[in-house]
This record gives sequence, C-alpha cells and structure tokens, in this order.
Amino acid sequence: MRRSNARTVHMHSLERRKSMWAYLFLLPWFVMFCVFYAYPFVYGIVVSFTDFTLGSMKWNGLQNYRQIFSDYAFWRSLLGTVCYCAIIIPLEVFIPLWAANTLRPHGRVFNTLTKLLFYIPGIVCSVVMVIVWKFILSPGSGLLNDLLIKLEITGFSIFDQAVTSIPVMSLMIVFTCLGSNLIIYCAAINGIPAMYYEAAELDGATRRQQFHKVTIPMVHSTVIYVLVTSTIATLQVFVIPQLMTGGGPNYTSSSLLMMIYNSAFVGGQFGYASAIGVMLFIITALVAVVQFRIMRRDQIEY
Amino acid sequence: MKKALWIPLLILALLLFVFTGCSSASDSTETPPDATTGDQSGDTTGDSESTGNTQEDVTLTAWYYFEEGTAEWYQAWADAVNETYPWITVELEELPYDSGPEKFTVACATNTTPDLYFDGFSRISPAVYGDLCLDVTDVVTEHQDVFLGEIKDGVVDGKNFYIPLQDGGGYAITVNMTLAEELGVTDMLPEDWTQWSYDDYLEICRAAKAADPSIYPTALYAGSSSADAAYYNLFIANGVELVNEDNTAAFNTPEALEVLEFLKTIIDEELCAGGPATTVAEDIFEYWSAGRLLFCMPTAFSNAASFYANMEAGNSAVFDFKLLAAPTSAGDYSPDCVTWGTYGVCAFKNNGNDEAIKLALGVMLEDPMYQNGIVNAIGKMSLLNNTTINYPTEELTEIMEQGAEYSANYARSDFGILESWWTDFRETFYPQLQDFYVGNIDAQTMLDTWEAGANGVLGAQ
Repeated sequence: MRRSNARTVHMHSLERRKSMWAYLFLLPWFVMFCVFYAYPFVYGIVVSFTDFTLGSMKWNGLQNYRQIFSDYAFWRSLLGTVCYCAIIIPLEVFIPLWAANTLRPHGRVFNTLTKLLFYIPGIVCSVVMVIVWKFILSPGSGLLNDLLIKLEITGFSIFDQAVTSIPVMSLMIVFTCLGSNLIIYCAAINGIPAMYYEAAELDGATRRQQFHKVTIPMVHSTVIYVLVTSTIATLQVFVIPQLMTGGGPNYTSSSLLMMIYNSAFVGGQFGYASAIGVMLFIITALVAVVQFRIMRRDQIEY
Repeated sequence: MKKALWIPLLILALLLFVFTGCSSASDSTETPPDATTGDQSGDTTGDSESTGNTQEDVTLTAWYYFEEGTAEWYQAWADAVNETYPWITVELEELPYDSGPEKFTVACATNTTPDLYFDGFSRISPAVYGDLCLDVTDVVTEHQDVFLGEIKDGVVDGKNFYIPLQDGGGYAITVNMTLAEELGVTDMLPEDWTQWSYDDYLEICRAAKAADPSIYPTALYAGSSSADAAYYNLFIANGVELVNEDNTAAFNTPEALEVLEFLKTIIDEELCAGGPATTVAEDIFEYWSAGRLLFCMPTAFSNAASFYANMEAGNSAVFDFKLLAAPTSAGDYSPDCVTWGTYGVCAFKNNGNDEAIKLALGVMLEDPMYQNGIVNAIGKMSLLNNTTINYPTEELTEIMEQGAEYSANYARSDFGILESWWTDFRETFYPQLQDFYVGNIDAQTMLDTWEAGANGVLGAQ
C-alpha cells in the first residue's frame, strides 16, 4: 500500500515536472499573446467606455455606443462591409475549391505552375497593387480613361458610385486571396485516398457527382476553416478601399475597419473608435459562431 | 492537468496588472520636470561656457514635415543648438505628409509626443487646446522684437503655447499659361486678376475643352477631409461666412448656393477630370504636373515655389503659370481669400525637458539663417523680421511679392480654422460634397445636411 502511494506521488511529481517544462516552452508565446493581444483587447474595451481624445480620457459610460447607433457613417460602413462580404466570401471559398478539384487529376508540373500563378498576386503588396489599378482605372489619368477619350467616349469614374466601386474593389481583394485558399484546398483534396474516387468511378459517378459526393464531404472541415478565416478577414477589409476611395462618396464604400481608423487616427476620437472596434468584434464573433453552427456535421475520418 | 491552469492565469493576471499600472503612470500629464534640467530656471540664453559643463545630457526630439530643401536647415539648427549648449542634442525626424498627421495624433493621445513639433497651427491647435503643449511665453517675450507682429495663434489665457514662424499665403487659382496660349484662351483671362465671375471661368473652360478635348480645363476633388480649403476659399470669396458669432452655422445662404451651382455646372458640362467625389488633391497635382490641367484650384501662393522646384527636379512638365484670385458669382465682390493659418513650432511638456526646449527655441529665433533657408526653400512667407527672401527665379519672386500683398490685404484665417472644433467641423463638409458631386442630393439639400451636421459639432462645444 505504502509502495503504491510512493509510486503515485512519484508519478505526480514527474507529470508536474513535465507540465512545468511545457509551460516554460509556452511562456514566450504566452507573453507575446498577453502583450500584443490580451492587454490591447481588454484595454480597448475599457477605452470604449471613455471619451478618449487628445490628452484627455474621461469616463463617459455608454455614450460612445449610443453615438454609434445614431451615426449615419457607422450604418453606411456596416452596410458597405456586408456588401464586401457578400461578394468576396463566396468567391474566396468556392473559386479555389473548384480550381483545386479541377487540378486534382492533372500532373505535378501543371499543378505547381497553376498554384504559383494563383499565389503570385497574394505576395504583391496591396499598396503596389492599388497603384497599378489606379494607373489603369483612374478617372483622370488612367489608361482606361485615355482609351475612352481616344475612342471619343466620355470617361467615367468607377469609384464614384458604390454600385460599381464595391464590386470592382471586391474583385481586387479576391484576386489577392485566391492563392492561399487554393493551396489549402489542394492539400486537403490530395489527402483524400484515391480509392474513394476509384470506387465512385466504378459505380459510374461523373466528375461532377464525384465532386459533390466525395470531394465536398471529405474536405468539409477545410471548407469551414476557409469560410471562417475568409469571413474574419473580409469583415476587416481596409487597405484597398482606403487607398482607392477613402470610403467615399459619403461613406458608401467605407468599411467598419476604415471607420475605426479614421475615427482614431484622423479624428483623434479613440474612445469612439474603440467602441466601433468592440462592435466589430461582437459582429465577427457572432458570424463565426453562426457559421460553425450551420456547417457543423459529423467528421468523416479516413 | 486542469489544476495546473492556475499558472497561466496567474501570469496573465500579473501581466495585465503590470501593464495597467504602467499605463496609469504614463497617463499623467503632470510629469515633474526632469532632474537634469530642473536647475536651469530663468536664464534661457545662458552661454555654453557657464552652463555646459554642469548639465547632464538631454536629447530633444523634433519632428518636421518633409519639403524639398528644408532638411539641411533643420540640421543646421540642431547642430547650432548642440554647439551652443553641448549638453543638448536635437534628434530630428522627418515626417511624410501622408502619414505624419496620423502619427502626430497617436503621439498626442498616447503621451509619446516629440519635444518639438513643426507644423501648421490648424493641426497643432487640438494639442494646444488639449493642454498638451508647453508654455513658451518667456521665449516669445524674450524675442518679441524678432516677430513681425502680434502673435495671436496658440495664445490661451494670455500665454503662448505655439510660436508662428511662416505663413502659407492666401489661396488662389493657378493657371497654366503655356497651355492657355496653346488653347487660345489667354485673352479671355481676367485683366484684373482679382475680379472675374463664374461665367468668365466657365466660358474659358468651355473654350479650352473645345480647343482640345484631351486636356482638363479644371479639376474638382472631394476625396478626403483635407479637400476643403479650395471650397472655403470659393465660399468666402463669394461673401459666405462659415460660422456666426453665436457659434452656429452661417453658410446656408443664396451665395453658397451660387457656389455649389457653379461647381455642379463644371461637373455636368464635363469641364473637369472625372470622378471628383473620390479624387484627392494629389491626383490633381498629377494632372497639373503632366501639363494637362488649365486651372489648378487647390493652390495657395506657397505652392508656387514647389511647382518651380518640381520643374527644376524634372518631376513636372515645364510651363509658365500665374495665380488668379477665386472668381465670384457677379465678379464684383471683395476678393477675400482663405489662408490656412500660420506654420510654426510647439513644444510638449510630457518629457520634462522644458528648459532645454526653450534654449533650443531661442537658438532658432536668434539666428535668422535657419528660417531664411526654410522659407526660401518652401516659398512660404516668413513671420520673422530678420529673414531675407531670396527666391531662385525672378518669376517666383514676382509671384511671391504679389502673394504677400494679396495675403496681407485679403487673406483670412478667422473662419474657424484656429478653433478647437475645427477638426470635427470639417468632417461634416466633405461627405455631403461627395454626395452632391455624384448627384445623390441637390445643392440646397447638401447645404441643409451640412448645416445640421455643423450645428451638431458647434453645439457640442
């Protein structure tokens, strides 16, 4: 009995020592997490209840949140963000899935080259890309406008109406994000055992049926991952609209992150910007939870 | 394992506690003066021999905006400070105009401002009214004879929190004279450069467009909140006041409607470059530099020097240009114009380097060389009486002389730009202008909506 107790104590001590090492290795990451994520997050929530402007920080309770609900710019930016999401997310989720499935039966060289082509726009700096697009689409000095003038057609600005500017900017964003999602899908599809496709073929399944009945169920968890990460990224759309239109005209192409940026760094209203940040966090968390709930199903193991 | 969760939780709690503590400490703006400089009360002109060896080293940080040809003069001043007071080192940081204002805003909000900051008063004023700036009244008093006139900007309760050094001059409209000649519209330009009407302006634009459809007679822009100066200039030239004495919006008048209808005619008749609602001033300068724009609206007299500098550097097509006052609806109003206020320097008190800051400012004010170099490089007008203007060309000298006279007689910065509410006020303008430009609202609705927004800002003060 005593020997058994001694062994238990010894096992616990060993386990604790192992745990201590694990925590020690986790510590650097944990410290970084606290410094750059946990603390700013908590502090941001605190600031959202204050009137934090240049040089002063006064508690003002829910005033920032009240202001949000009566702010035209906020609602326009929220609508703009929803529009970006409605265009970008389906394209970012399904085009790479379709492309990855199309690549499956092809050889390695073709696969690699195609992935490279898809991936290159993603490694180009967004600012550089905006400069190039502006060079083409600028209503004043852009190539497209010059061409129209030469053809004696009146030039127009794509960016003066949200109906045209949001789709065009969404396509620019999609263009940069396809590559990474394609690689994720390719990895997932390549991991599906070939016997499933062989069996489907023996049963006389067409390519489309194989895609619907084999590929999609097998990569379901990958689709959820891509969907959730694309949604989070799109809810935080910023660089391209900020540089292309600045959110105009009258906030119609603005996004919530642009509003946060402009409220804080242009208007100096850090409390208000933090309140919008909290709202964005709540919206993102809600959307992610809803997506998980809708897409939840039993995992297929193979 | 679950029991061991207390370890990360404890670390998290400790870290949050430590950071919150640090943050609380740094939030205090009542930082005591640095011990290294605390003994130097009074004498702001003490020589290096008497003070240099007894002081501990102080490093001052100074931010200024990049403009061609100014860096060497700021550096010369920094070197002179160090030579006069060996215990003071001035570290300079050059800010770009596109991201510098944001950096300054963040610095003000987080108590990480530099010791000295050179900029326009319109951007500095929130820091002055936010009680972040150091009282430099003694420096101003000591060098009173250096200033051309009474200092009004940055004075709160009789104390100076800002030192004006230059003036940008009045806003005007620049004409590409070489292009005007090519298009055959030179004779249509006003003889009296301050008196011309909207009809005159539109006629010239129509004639220019007819002569060459590939050029832009003019360009409008409303892409950002900094798009407003040229419009306030048009409003004020046409007799529109922005704010009443009782702090309510004053601009909803028939004269303001005339201005808006004039702008809408330009857009409807396609006399400007496309997409004015999302165009920013930089885009317009691009057309201007390419020699494709006849009238450049967002220009003050100080831009003349940079236009010449760009041509010299090969960054712009070479052409002759001249400046005209803004047109008015009938062409007979007093040609009041907007000036974006003064440019100068403020100091911040959060680092506790008060005495070293004052000594460094003294060096700048006592020797005219530094301001001389800077104003000659950027074409602004000096507000110090020991500055000699020596512009590189005769044409520029002529333009700047004209600008100095024009600005002295007509330029106004009393329309709200120097007030603490200005930043919020201007944010109410351009989104409505954008909506107006794209045709979503008419001129009267635009004025009504802007008025409601502006009164909201003014009423909150």
